[in-house]
Amino acid sequence: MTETRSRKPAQTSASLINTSFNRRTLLKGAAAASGVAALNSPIARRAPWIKRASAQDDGRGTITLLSAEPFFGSWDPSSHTILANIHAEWNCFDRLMALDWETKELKPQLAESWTFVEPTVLELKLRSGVTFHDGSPFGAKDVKASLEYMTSDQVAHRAWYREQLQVEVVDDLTVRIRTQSPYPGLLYTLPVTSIMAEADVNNPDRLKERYNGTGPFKWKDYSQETLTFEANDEYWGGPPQLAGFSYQYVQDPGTRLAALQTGEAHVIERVESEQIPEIEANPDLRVDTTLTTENKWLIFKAKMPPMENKLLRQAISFAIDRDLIVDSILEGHGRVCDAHVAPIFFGYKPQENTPTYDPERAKALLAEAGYPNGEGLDTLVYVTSVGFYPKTREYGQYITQALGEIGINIDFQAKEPAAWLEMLYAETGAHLFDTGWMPPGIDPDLVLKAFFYSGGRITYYDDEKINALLDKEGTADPEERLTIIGDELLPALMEEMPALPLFTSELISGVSNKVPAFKANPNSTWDLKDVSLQE
Amino acid sequence: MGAFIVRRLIYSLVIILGASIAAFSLIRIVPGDPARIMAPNASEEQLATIREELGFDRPIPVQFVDFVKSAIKGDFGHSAFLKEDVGTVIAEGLPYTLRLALTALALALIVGVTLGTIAALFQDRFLDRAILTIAVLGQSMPAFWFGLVLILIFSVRLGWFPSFGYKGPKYLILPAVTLAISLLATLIRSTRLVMVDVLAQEYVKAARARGLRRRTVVFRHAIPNILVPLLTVVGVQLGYLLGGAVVVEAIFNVPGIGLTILNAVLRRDYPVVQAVTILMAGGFVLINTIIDISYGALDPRIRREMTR
Amino acid sequence: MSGRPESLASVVDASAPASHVAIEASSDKTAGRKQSRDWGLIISGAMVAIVALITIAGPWIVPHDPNYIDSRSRLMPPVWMDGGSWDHPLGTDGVGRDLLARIVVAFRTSLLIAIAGVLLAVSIGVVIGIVSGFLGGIADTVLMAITDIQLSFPFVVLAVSLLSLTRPRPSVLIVVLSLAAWPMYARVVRSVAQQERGADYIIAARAIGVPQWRILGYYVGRNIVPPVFIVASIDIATLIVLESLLSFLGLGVQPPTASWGNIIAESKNYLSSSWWVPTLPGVAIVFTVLSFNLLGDSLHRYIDPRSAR
Repeated sequence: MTETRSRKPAQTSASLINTSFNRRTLLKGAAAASGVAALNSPIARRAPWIKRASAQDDGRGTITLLSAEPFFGSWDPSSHTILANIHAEWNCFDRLMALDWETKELKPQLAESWTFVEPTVLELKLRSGVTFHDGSPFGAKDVKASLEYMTSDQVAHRAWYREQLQVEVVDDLTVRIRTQSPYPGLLYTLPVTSIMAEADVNNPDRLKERYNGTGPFKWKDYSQETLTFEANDEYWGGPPQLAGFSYQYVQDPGTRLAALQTGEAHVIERVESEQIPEIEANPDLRVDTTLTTENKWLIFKAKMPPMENKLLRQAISFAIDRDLIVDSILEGHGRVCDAHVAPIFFGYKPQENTPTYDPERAKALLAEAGYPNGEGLDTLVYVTSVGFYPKTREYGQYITQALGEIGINIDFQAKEPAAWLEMLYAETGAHLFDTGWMPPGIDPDLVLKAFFYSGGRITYYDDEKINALLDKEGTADPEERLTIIGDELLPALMEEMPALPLFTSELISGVSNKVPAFKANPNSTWDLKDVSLQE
Repeated sequence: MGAFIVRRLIYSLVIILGASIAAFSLIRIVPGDPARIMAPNASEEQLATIREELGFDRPIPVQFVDFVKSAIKGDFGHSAFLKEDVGTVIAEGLPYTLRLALTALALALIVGVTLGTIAALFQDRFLDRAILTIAVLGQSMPAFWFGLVLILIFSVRLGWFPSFGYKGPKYLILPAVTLAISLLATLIRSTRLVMVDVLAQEYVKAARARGLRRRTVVFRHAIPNILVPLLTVVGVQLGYLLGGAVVVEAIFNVPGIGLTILNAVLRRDYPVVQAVTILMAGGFVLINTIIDISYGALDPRIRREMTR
Repeated sequence: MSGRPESLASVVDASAPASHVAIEASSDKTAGRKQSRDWGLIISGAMVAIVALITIAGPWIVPHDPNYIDSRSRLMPPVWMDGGSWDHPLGTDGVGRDLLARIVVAFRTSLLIAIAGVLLAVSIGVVIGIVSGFLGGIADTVLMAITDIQLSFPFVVLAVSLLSLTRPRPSVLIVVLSLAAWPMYARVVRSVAQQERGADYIIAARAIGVPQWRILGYYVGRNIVPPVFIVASIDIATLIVLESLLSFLGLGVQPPTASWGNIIAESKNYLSSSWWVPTLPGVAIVFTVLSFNLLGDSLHRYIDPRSAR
């Protein structure tokens, strides 16, 4: 709070962290800049600064990506679960392992190999010769500090872990992670956790100031909602193909698209489906679509009567034509859910008892629930957000209409994101709630435990049978775990229906053909190391 | 005059204090928790830690007194989202907004006074109606719609102007036009009103009678006489101008204080909301004071009232 | 303290007996001009009548349920474009609702909210302006301070706060919109009242024992009508557009109820692919506001006590 230092946009590529400046220099600089630009601004030349920006960078070029979500200005990776920050961290920090999104196999990153030496002890051998951006060497102590900090009770990142990890330093390049009971999900959760330097972890104020990782790009600056990074040429995996990149928050989807079309941006996030034809019509641009780890949910708030009534929840599930939502309202950009986890997840199996659109059956279930034709049922409050998730207002109105057709009256409320977010985690206030949930990894516990275990947050759902099944899969050995999830847990969830998974989101990015190698990952991050700019 | 300025100063402070109390309490009682926005899926305890760290766990009056104390010393707090002191945030954003607002104002004044004068000269005839229609058109288009139309035509299709951000004067044109359009209606309408009256004044008729050409009369005698009353309209419009800047900056992604306050409100960045409100109130009061003084300097009746 | 006798009112009333002089001055043209004015009155009157008719009869004359979602017929173009059909004369929106039906029923929502907002703003503004301008002194200072605080307060902060605190019901929307608009009226009315306070005929009226309320109601009242009317006829458009800004932030008229503002806000991304959805409601706004403004202009002669003399 008392830190008064600040940063300004950097002109040189020297170490720029903590350059202090005063207001006058800034104003003078801005005035001078606009004066110079006024003197030599040929009207016909289009977007001259892009060429200028790339010319200075030894021919490799820098690219601009536009974020749909604002950044949270604390750069401590433990302190948030905001996607925009995660995207930026993804290229600055390394993790112990990386996930191959195609084969779903783990690849070495900072850990070169790993084995369970006991069911509760995971041993990892670390990569040697790696240094952090500030020059300090990487070793076992950093892994211990990072993992223990990132999984401690007081940080937000803890949400992804079942328990706080205990890490033992065996030697400089070997660590052992001890868990209280077998934790098969651990392997698929570690690839979401950034590894920081021990010195930074011990001093959270420094951690908040800037990124200091081992990744392919180095922190340069943050100002005016824009993060800038430069290449880490000492990267252990070889120097990146780009001289750097900037990542800027631009709230409006129309503005983002225009910036892509005029060449001012190379990648834009969260393209709306109706914008696709325009991108496709432009030979310089392409659309990158990825089926994500995110399901969009219709949450039934369990603590809000009458939502504890299973038959009512089932009736609602049969009354909604999810195919129509995906095919028509989302213009096919998404996939109707057939399990409570997205297809990419470990343990996913399509469920035969998935509800399909059947208004007659919905009516019958509603009558069986004690509300024939909706009689005796009070109006249910359905809350959604506008401005972040695509088409929530549109399909929300459809769901309202569809439920009205079987006799359920809905009070539909579309809220701005901050007010919506406050209600998301509240027990009361709404019966039905629209949200998405995008875990950075593909371990099913990142969804199922978070939502459905013993009064899980958001749903507040608490059911002995489901709890027992989650306990059982959470400690089973990996092979057996797959069977428990696919054949017991997922069918039980479909039957109990504590929340209706509507569809798996498709991430639509608009990409310039000048960055041919760009591809978004299913957790919405992107790896820029092998992306290059081709003018 | 000196006494007037002192009184005016006290009055301005009251306005600024009133606006900051309102902003301070409103943004805090509204649903939406900054801690929750920073860490959406954190637990209650984790949120409590964040709130404590930011100082938002204390009673609102205590926070306010604290805020005023440091504000007097020039410290407006720190934005947890922007990772900057609020003073710096404003110093960075203000030049953009000033440039945008002044350009838009100049554009609107030039076009508005011209069209308003023409309308007055052709009172109740076709041209008058046509100009009224233009004014109404401008007033009826939401800025976010009109801004996108301009971007589509002039940046995407024609490639004449960049579409977003601010890196030089070329970036200013589309946003300034968008902002100016929404001011135009009031300016055209008030110019026309005043001009109709001025044209009927004895001295204007006398000038015409002396054989001066109509154009000369309008430029030499009529227009100088309407500028002062128009200044007042502009003063009142200033509030709307800053309001309009919010939308325009959002559409064109100009990093000015309009976009800053919009983002701050949406993510409940309390210190930024407070400080920008104070800045806007201060700017409003300052400009209106200048207008009052210059108005007084031009009109002896008001000068007497001021020094009374 | 706030020696501010100017503002739009003094702009409007700057030179007292102006308008009729203007007419006299061109007496040779007067006859023809008068006729054209009457034509103006008839045309603008007819436009307002159409607006009123649609507003009242709207829900009964539309061919489709304005809220019925038929996702299988999304984004159909209007009838005059390729692929359009008379079934949906103005086409359909992003979820397949009939655009004509939505625009027509939105006359009620948008217009009523805007008019109610303007009326509320006028009432607040007139009361504050008269009290402030006529009483002067400390009451004036306090009331003008409140007006200035309101004027200088960023609307986004006010709107997001008030509309998130409660639900964005029409009544709340009306209040929020009127909060944005009332200070202008307060200032305008105040300066008229201030000018009138010292006017000879008011002093004379007082002297012959005309009660205070009559002076206020008649002498001052008739002088504030013209400037208030002019500001109000523009403000209707301003408030309709402000409501659309609120819809843009998700705080305007709530779905599925249609308003011009939320149709534009919901469909703004279709601007380049299906331009008619975000554009046609704008045509309704322009027509409506233009009709009010034209009528206002034509009526000006009848309302303005000076030009009627």
